Amino acid sequence: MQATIAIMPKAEILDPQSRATTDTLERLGFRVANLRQGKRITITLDETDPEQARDTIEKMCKTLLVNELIEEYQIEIHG
Amino acid sequence: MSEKIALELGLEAEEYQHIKEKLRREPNFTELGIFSAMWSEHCSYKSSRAFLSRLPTEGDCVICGPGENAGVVDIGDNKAAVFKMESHNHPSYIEPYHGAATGVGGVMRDIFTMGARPVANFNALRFGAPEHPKTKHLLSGVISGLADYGNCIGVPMLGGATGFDTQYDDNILVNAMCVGIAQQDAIFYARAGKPGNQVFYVGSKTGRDGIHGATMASASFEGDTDNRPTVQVGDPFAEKLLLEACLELMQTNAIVGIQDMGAAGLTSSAVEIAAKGGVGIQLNLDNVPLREPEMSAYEIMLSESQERMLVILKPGKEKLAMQIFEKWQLDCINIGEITDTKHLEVLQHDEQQAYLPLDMLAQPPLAAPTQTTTSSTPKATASVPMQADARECLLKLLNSPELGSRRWIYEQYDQTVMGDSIRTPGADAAIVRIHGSTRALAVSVDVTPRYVHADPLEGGRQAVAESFRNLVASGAKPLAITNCLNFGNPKKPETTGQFASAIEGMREACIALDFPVVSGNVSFYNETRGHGIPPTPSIGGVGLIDDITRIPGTGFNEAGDAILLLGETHGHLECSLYARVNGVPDGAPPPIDLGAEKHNGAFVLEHIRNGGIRAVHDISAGGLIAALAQMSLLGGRGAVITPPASHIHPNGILFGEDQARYIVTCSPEDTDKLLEAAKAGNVPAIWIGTAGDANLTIEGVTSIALKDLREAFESWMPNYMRSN
Amino acid sequence: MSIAVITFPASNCDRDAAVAVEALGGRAIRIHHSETSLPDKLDAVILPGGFSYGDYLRPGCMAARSPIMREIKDKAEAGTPTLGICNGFQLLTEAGLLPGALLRNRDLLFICREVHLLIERNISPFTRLYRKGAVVTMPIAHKDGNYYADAETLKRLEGEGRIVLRYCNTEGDVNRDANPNGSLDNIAALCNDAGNVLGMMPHPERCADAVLGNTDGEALLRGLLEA
Repeated sequence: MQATIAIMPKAEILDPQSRATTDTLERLGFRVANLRQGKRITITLDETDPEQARDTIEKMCKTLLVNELIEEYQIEIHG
Repeated sequence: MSEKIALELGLEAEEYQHIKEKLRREPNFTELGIFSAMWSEHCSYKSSRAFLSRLPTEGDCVICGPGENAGVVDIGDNKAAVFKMESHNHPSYIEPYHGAATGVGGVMRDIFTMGARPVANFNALRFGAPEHPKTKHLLSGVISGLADYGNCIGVPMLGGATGFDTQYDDNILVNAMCVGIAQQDAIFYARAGKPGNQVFYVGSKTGRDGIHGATMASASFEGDTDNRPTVQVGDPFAEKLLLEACLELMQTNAIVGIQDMGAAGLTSSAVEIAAKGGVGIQLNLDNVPLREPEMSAYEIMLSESQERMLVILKPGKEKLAMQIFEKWQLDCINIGEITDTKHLEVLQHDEQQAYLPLDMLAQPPLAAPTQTTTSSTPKATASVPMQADARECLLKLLNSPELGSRRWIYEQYDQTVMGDSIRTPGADAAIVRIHGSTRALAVSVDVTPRYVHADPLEGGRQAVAESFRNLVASGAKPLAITNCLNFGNPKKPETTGQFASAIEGMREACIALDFPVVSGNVSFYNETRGHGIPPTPSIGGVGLIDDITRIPGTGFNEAGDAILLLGETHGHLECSLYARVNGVPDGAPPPIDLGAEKHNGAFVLEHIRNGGIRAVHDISAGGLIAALAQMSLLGGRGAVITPPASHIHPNGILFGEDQARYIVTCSPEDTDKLLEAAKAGNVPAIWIGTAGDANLTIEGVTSIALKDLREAFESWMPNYMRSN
Repeated sequence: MSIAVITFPASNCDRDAAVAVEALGGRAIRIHHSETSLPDKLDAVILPGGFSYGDYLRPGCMAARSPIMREIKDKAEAGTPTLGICNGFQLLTEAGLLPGALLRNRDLLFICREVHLLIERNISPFTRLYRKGAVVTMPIAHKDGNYYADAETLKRLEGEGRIVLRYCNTEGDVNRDANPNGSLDNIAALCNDAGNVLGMMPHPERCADAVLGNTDGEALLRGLLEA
């Protein structure tokens, strides 16, 4: 079972990285309405039950992968 | 195997024939790959070896000269300084961040492989013209790469030299230098010991990174940077663990020999360690820890994955080593043994993949020496206009890529970690205390490519002399140098001519100044579409400060101090920054009087030690006025200067780049004594002014407010990096 | 006085902290992160600077989950003075011993320079030897020192007087120009509500030796040692 976790800085957090990326794109002539950048983690589990898998991944996020003070996340489970 | 494949792997047709004749059979693909890596310019020094042998490598302080991972010099108290400079030019152009980062990682491994803890990093960087579309991207990538790697390891980056010139547009230079400190009785070499000794692989796993990087570093660019698979990615975290694990293992008397897997990876480390010992080595690739599945013998042998070492352990010490590496979360695996076959034998899947004589791998057939054209005839001297406004020229130079502050760069480096950084970037030389002692090392990285280009012989002398001067100016006795010789295509007679002349210049200076070469690196093929770089022999000099309470100041710190000019002034402007800023092509560089360098240097050192001299700065690019401006900025005080009466035009006095000169300050009471001592010692010395004012005033010429100097000096680089 | 200095994988100011402690007459006990207990007689703990676990994922986050951290938390909660410097500060926020988080610097670059700091509070033991309102100079060296906390937390921290150091200029003015990394309210150091856990981005251990030209950090370490 595979899981993908998308971790993004919370909307209210000042995100200088995204701002720098936006500025550069605009300097290169692109028009950007909004840009946020984050990270993506893929995990393969020895698990066949999607609910169990989601549970485990959720725990991983809370224990280590995400700092919920500054980040938010979304989990996707793939067959 | 066909000759076509051999050529594709970078071998010459004659070399391929030589292999077939010697082996009396066709080499297989893996074997050809091994030959091509070992015989690449980068690993074999086949074009440079004959010239390099002319450099002096011996001296009272030398414990180990070129030929090992790094040079070793005696710094007293059973301690040794271990240092080396290395190029990572091609990888940094292709992928500036990772190229530069792995350059730092590689040279630090050279240092700790020998049992030394790295204590300071340096670099010599050359970029294209600031306005070239790629320069800013390359610059910011290289600096972040150097910074992130060194900062993570926790070794301070204490300085270097950064230059810009359109001749480096397509061939930037990234030379990384590392200095470490070891106990003299615990220095480790690439030794194999006796047949039967077990060979261990330690560090990170092997992937497909940088396969054939050594060959890449030995070929010209075709302007094609979409060559990414060969770029290695560095992992400073792994290197920090490897550093601590190796130094811990070295305390246990378990190691026979150790060798970093640098260029050409497992191949060159295994060949070097076994060939030096006159033994053989058998490697079983099935045991090599892999990061990617199904790697072929060819790929494993040539991978340049970073942060790996080959260690030969004493019998019975295997378990101890494994425990230490386990503690640091790294692999430590037996991958073979030392044999008596005098061959490199590579096994995989129970089959022999390569069986090659080591003496042959270690000694490539030397190509017929390229014809050298003598290029030491200085260029014709251009006429330099003398009427330019001195104030304007100075401010322009301070506010330009030539002399503008490098603060934007060095503030990205951790300069103070390890708690021994006495002098951080911005002055003549960096100073790092020898941990736990009252002594220190001074280090300076120098070369003036416009001089070497105009006259390789004089330029070679000057690079060494400037390094010497910078060390003296920090109160250090110059000990020895490392170098990184960056040149164009060695198949061109012009390049070999430059190379031969620059080496000759360095040789003379090293001998005259008792300043031997203990390690180094050659980078050829810095050429794209037929255009080579100006010859750029970067010199990294190391000196010893006996007493850290006797380090002179760098600027005008005390109001009222007398300012003296030491050395002879001739007003040499033909290859100066003044000429450049006035649009005059480079002429002949200033002549170097090595006797005067030595003599004046000894005087300065003596009077630093006896306390007569309070602050020192050597005079180099930009001449006297630039040096005065720098001392004003460093000390936070201006000065009132009376230019010496002379038949020389004031601009010649102010901007001339005559060598063997220093500005020194002393207390007003000591002035006469110091001038008399200079006279008695035959050192040209004159009083030129007094420190301490809100302005730098050159009487009869100009008066510039310190804040205007600072604004000009500090603003060029941040403005440039902010501009689109 | 015995002070434990913890070494995480790729801590790199652990030796510096130990050297500074010993130079001031204290005893530094080096502890590897894989240990699960600290010596009984222990007067303070230092979590040193560095790049634990390469700063991968988030600075300090993996070190905050090291085996030794349970014991460190217990001791801190029982009142043992605990000082987190740079990466140690990041780690304290990740471990939940201090509120907030340290984000990438405003200009995205690593910054190594000397900064001026306003002694906002002289709490025991850390800043008790400084005069409240004094301006001191210490080096910073970090890429992720941009302090963030949500508005409510920040208000509480301010209200409870838990901001210990702020970035300021030579005159002691706390303003944007004096803020090197974008930290909210120019926060350079803060403590927990009991006052025994301090996190700070500047490096006092790098400015406690006259040979290096600055001794402004000495009083902080001395405060800890002589408590």
